[in-house]
Amino acid sequence: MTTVTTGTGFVLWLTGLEGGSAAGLVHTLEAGLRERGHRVEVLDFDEAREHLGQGLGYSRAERDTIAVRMGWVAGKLAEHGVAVLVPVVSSRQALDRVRDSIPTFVEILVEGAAEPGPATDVIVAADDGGTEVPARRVLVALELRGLTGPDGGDDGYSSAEEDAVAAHLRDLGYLE
Amino acid sequence: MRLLQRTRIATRPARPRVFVLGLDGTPCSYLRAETAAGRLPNLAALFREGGPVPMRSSLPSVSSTAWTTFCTGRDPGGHGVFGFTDLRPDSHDLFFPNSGDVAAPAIWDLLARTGRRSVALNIPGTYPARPVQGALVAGFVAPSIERAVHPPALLPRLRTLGYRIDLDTRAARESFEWLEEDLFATLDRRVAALRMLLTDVDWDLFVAVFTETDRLYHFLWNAMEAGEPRVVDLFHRFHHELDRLVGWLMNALPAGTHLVSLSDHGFAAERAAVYVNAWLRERGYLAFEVDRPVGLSTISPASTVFSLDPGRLYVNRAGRRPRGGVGPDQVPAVLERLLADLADLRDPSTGELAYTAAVVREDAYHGARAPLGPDVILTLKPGYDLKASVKAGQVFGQPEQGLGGMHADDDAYLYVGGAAMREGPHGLEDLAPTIADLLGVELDGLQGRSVLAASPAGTPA
Repeated sequence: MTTVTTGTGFVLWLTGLEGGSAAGLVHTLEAGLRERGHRVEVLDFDEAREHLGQGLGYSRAERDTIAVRMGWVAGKLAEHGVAVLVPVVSSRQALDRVRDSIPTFVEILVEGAAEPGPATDVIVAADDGGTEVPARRVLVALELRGLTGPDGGDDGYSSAEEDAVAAHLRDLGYLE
Repeated sequence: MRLLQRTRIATRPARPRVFVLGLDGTPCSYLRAETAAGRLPNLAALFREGGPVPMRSSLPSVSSTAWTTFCTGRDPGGHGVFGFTDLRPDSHDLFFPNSGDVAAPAIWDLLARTGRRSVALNIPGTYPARPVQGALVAGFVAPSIERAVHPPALLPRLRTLGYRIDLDTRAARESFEWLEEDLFATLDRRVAALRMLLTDVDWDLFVAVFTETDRLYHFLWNAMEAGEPRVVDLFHRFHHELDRLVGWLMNALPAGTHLVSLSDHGFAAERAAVYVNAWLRERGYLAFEVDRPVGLSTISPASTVFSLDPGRLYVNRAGRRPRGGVGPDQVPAVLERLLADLADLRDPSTGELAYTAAVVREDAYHGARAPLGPDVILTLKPGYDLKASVKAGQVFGQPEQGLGGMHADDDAYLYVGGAAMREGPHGLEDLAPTIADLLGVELDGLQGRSVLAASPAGTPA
């Protein structure tokens, strides 16, 4: 039998970052996760190129190949309970490929400069690709998903969706 | 001399898989009666080796709570979904919990860590769809199909099939003909999606839930019990379609698959609506700052107890919400008085108690979210549907027009193929450990207990 514990790993895939501007956000997320008792690994693109991308150049296709390989490594680490941060610039196709292969995948789309410091000035996209939320809520969103603990936040339906939910429940007699 | 070497080729046993067929709201008693009457031959054949056995639902027995209990192997104290509605933190405003509010990993999250893949089709309470190793199509209440599907690449394929998440409940409630047509059309498309996912996605665990049953029962259980011919005929024809699906599954599932089937709660005819907040007002527990309240947001801070659907009673604690008025030292006395007074919540026409039992939180819920649950929960008595409307002036009223059925707490069913079950009682939180047992995986942190008498010696043919 395989023994499994419920300390779940996951992958935070930070896209839209350019060069060193990622450092502050990654550092903040890394510190926050460590505070919550996670084992954390940050996969650096340049390091990955050295080990996973020998012979590959700098074209978009070649960068994507490295990104997908990083995704495979990140997924394996996450399976063993590690919180993996992957700041990388990749195409949407590469990102989708990685997303589909990792059940605990969270995309963080950083728009604008992410300077070192509190990660409150950047915008991220939740992993369903729909809702943009401030980065400070990334950890809260993870908690809601049961990945980092029970202290959740607000990740409810939109107001239009709430109306639809209420109407549906009224039809079934649960609400008046 | 040349010796011929005989090589024994060891056939590799088929890998264990589990397919779960969920029939939302189908009572064990109904299934037993229909199979005994010979109307569901495939299910009868399935049950010949044992089952179905009765199973208790969650507290409360609403589908979002019940299926989340199934998915997480924890009671609401562990997963945090206590009903279709809850109160926002720090207020008396209602909100609708969704998958983002589930505070525990689902079984497919845990199985993914062992490299196993899962498909979840139409499980209530899984909207918006979260990433899963495999595929997930959320069940009701799912306002937008775009956010109900993972991976997103499935969406156009489901659209091609004409897949729909639920019936048009409003139209179905108003027109028998519409309900009839919608029931079969929705079932047909759900089955088409099931067939597609069964073959196109590699899976170890496949959970498919049919919620059309619950819809049929909500609208027409009373009429079916009363023997209304066209309704009885509709029940027979609809369950015959489900039975055909079971027959197809028995042949189509890969070798090594354990077929598990269950419902999340039972059903009963509704005789009366019981407005618990009206009773609390009569007894002096609940007051409002307006003459005609429409919700709990105008609750008076002098109130000591309020109710949410169905039969969830909360002490109006000070400090938890701005309009809370009961201090920590007063809580035991309020609860003591409430539990004593509840003995009087009786149908005036018969003298019968309007619920089965009053369960205190400590007995009902376990886990980190338990403190957020109701202080007392009333279990449902068939016939009396517990409501939380604050608009009702009378405690007892007629069932709502067009709604003839209500949930029952203790008449859900369970069947597990290819393995013997231990003695019950069984609960929905026992399913995740049972599935893990059937797959040969041990999962930590679950509250339930496998229902298997022993780990399966082998896999079914």
